[in-house]
Amino acid sequence: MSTYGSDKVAFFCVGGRSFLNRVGTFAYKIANGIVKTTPLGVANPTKDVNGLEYASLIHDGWFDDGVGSVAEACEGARGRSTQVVCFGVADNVLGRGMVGMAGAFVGEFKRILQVGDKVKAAAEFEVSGQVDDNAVILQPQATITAAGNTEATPVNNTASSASGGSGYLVVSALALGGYTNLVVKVRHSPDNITYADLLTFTVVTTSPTAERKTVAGTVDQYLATSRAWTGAGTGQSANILVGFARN
Amino acid sequence: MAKKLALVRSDSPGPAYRVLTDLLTWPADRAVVERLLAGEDVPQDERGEQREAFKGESVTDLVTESIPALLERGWIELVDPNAEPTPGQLNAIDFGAGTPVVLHGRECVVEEAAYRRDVNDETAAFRPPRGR
Repeated sequence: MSTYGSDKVAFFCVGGRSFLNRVGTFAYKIANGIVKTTPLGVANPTKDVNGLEYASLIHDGWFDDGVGSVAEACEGARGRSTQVVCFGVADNVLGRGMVGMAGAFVGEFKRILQVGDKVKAAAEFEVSGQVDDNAVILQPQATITAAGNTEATPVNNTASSASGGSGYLVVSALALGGYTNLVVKVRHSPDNITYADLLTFTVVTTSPTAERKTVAGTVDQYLATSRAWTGAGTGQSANILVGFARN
Repeated sequence: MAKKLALVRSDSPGPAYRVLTDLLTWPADRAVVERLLAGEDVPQDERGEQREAFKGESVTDLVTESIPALLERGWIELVDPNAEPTPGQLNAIDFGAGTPVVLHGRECVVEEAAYRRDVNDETAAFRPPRGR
């Protein structure tokens, strides 16, 4: 086990928007639903879990009205619009842990103004559905230009797993440079020699964007990613992050 | 009815397998494979050419050590070398006698000249050479 300082918080992305540099405080909470089970005639109350797990995110930071900002993510997503949220607190390193969720929606967004201080922003995200807090980074968040794969640096799970999983793709910036789109895949291998596609994300034509995609069945021992540009062009680049959580 | 084709088994590098998954990839360089089999991490710039095979393609150069796992996962299937080739598996119009073709990943030669009017029509019959 390792501990990590705040400098190792690697990324915090909402709907593909990466605004780690606008966040000062961040809290992620998982809570069991509690039901009271105290019957009549008992002096000491009893409780039990109701089988439901609740997740929420709270962050405080600085207000920014730019493209891809926290304000755009939160104010533009009011109502029932959900967004893919990914964050990593153990450094932006291949194979390290990250957390992903597809059903996060803004429960509350505040602008805080105070004399003598910069305008601050605070948001609370409620999460609907599954949280993948065991995801691992297959492609650290970075700007890529050429097509390629990470099969030279796969994530080794030491064994295959049988119950599928969820892949996460975050695209914070994209310049197609004339290409039609960017295709990103998660690939797996039983022996780190021969690889096959495990899942293919929706082709990327714009940013910011993010996707959580699930897959059933066997997920082999080694995981890697690949990316390819469709068509022809020049000067292409994308800032991407790819992760995968086994069920 | 497809014209008879003679299989050239002696030139075949090994059994043919049909790819059943979207895309399979593996290092084309056996030396790289040997390093991976030894548990060595091979950097990207030392991995050389990567072999790719798409769904439906027949290949004879899979990494031998990978084949059992690939079969188990249903990513490939063994191609029956004695199966009669169907018209849809021939991908050219003119086949003169002695023309080398590849069927099921194996090198073959055509015994009697033949052609098909429409290579995309699997029901189209093979006919004698045009002009006869």
